[in-house]
Amino acid sequence: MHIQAENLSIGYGSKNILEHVSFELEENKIYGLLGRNGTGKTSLLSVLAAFRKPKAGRIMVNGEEPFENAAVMETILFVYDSNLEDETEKVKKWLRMNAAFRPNYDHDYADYLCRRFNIPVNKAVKDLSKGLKSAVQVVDGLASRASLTIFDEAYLGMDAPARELFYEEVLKDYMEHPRTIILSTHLISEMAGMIEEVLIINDGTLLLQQDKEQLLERGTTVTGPKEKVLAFTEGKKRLKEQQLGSTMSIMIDAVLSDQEKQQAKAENLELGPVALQELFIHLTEGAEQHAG
Amino acid sequence: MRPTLDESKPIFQQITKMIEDDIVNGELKEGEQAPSSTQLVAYYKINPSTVLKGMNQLVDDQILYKKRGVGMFVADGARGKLLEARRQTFMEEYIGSMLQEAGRLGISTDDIYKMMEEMKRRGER
Amino acid sequence: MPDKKMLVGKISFDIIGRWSLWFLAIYLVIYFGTGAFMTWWGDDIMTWSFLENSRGSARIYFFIAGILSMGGLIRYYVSNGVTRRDYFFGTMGAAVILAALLTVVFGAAYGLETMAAAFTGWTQSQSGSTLNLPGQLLSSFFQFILYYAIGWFISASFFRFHWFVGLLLTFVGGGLMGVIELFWEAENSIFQFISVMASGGVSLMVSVLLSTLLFLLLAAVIRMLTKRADIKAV
Repeated sequence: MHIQAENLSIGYGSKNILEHVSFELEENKIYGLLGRNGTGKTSLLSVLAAFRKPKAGRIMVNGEEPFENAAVMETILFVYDSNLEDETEKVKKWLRMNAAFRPNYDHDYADYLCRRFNIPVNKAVKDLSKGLKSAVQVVDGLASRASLTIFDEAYLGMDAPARELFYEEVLKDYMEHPRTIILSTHLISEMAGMIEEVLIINDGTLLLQQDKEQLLERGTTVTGPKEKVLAFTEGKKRLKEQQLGSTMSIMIDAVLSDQEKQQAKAENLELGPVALQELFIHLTEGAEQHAG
Repeated sequence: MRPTLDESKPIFQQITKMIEDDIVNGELKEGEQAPSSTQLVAYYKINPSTVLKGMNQLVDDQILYKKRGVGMFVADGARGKLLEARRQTFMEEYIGSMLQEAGRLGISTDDIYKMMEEMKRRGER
Repeated sequence: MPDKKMLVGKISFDIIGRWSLWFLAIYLVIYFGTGAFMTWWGDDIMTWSFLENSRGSARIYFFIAGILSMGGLIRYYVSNGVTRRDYFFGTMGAAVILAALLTVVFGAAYGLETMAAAFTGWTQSQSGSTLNLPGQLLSSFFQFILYYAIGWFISASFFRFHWFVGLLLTFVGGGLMGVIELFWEAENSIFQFISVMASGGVSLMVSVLLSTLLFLLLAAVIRMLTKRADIKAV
């Protein structure tokens, strides 16, 4: 599913949560939407899922605006952390009712997932534990096979083994039935591997959108003797400095050329990658200072 | 294959390294099918594009070749090529840094030979 | 893909219909239980008319069903990729059909009561209403759908606006209930006057017409209130 956001602003009244956000999402990729709490990730996804209208600008899904568009809305599924406290239906019935709205729903796959997650399908949804409620929503989200599937912190309450299962199933089903998936998360280190392209929201706007591998190439840790490290990173954007004795480690935001890499090697400097989470923390910190 | 990924190298490079290791060790022979990207994705829980990036690099390096609709296979001469490359790396990285360290400690090349003989004996025992 | 409106109608019918079954079962048990008790007590005259009594209870039930047709339901449908438009028409359709069904059920129960009275010699209490049986049934049906619409209108107001505005509009809803009283409850009806003037039937037609107009007006307002509803993803 192709998505185009054009100069999007989202907000209530005079207050804007997001301003002038533009981006393009290609079909059949897994996107990671990252941002600190309260930066407007959920608001952005709400607009995408036709839960609300943008204040200005527009969002186009396959060339059409999703809001009140029946054909588009049935192909978008937004899994968010809803409490499901009022769902008195049994899991089985609840899933079957939702399935009626989704043209590509796979019942066998839903049954399989329920077994994998150990969901008691004859229990009322509201009586499930927090983790199992999340699991039921994940089952619904995957089995619906919606062209755009959004998981907004969908794993809350799941324990580590259940989350692993979730990641595994998302990737497996994504390969068998390619579709556009957006993962909005703060568990960056856990989910980084699944993501193909990263969008970072910060300070009310889109800070960056980049292929994850390319983004990771931007971050390098240079470790070695203090003077050499300082000399090598001179003029480069430094994200973080650490020192132990005469050894220094500096994290930089710069794509190194092959020549620079050779030079580092010659100078006995160790170059290491930076984890997405670490990079995210420093990129969003920097932007805050700018705004501050 | 190694069971886990570490963070000292980009993930796609780790994928290529694992496959290369298997070829060098002889676990994966020339003409045999390499692990499918589906297997690798499920095993490491990483995005298929990352796996593909690693695989494609191996194809570019002529270690693997694609059979359309079937998968990736180990190319003829892949092991030799890898051994040659590793030999080169061994010389540049291990021997290079060994000599550097030896220089710092004032160990002569003759001493190094003796040390190597000594270590070899220990290893044989 | 099947028509979403029909699908919504089916599911809303399922949901509201299930509440209705509970209401109906409890109501009938209480009504006939009381009746049987009164007979056993020796007082063979039921002091209230079945149709009027059932209408009074059922319209409150529809009012509550209307209130419950907003928050949870619209979130449920939009979350499942259904437009607010299909949610509105499907749910309203389901409610109108349920109102008709419940009217028929009460009519049938009244028929059974009449038969039972003939066989057992109970005295069936007749209402003070000047309306004949079809008039009574129409009264039930229109009061059901109007009370339903008022309930929905009030919850939609709270959903759309600040609670203070919601409260104001609740008073409007209360006022409308008074208007419905004028349309259908003969003792108070201004149309009784008309019915005296015109020889039969006219007042009923006027009530039907005005009720239909009021219902359409309320439906249009609810549609306006829900047309752009924001669903909060929390």
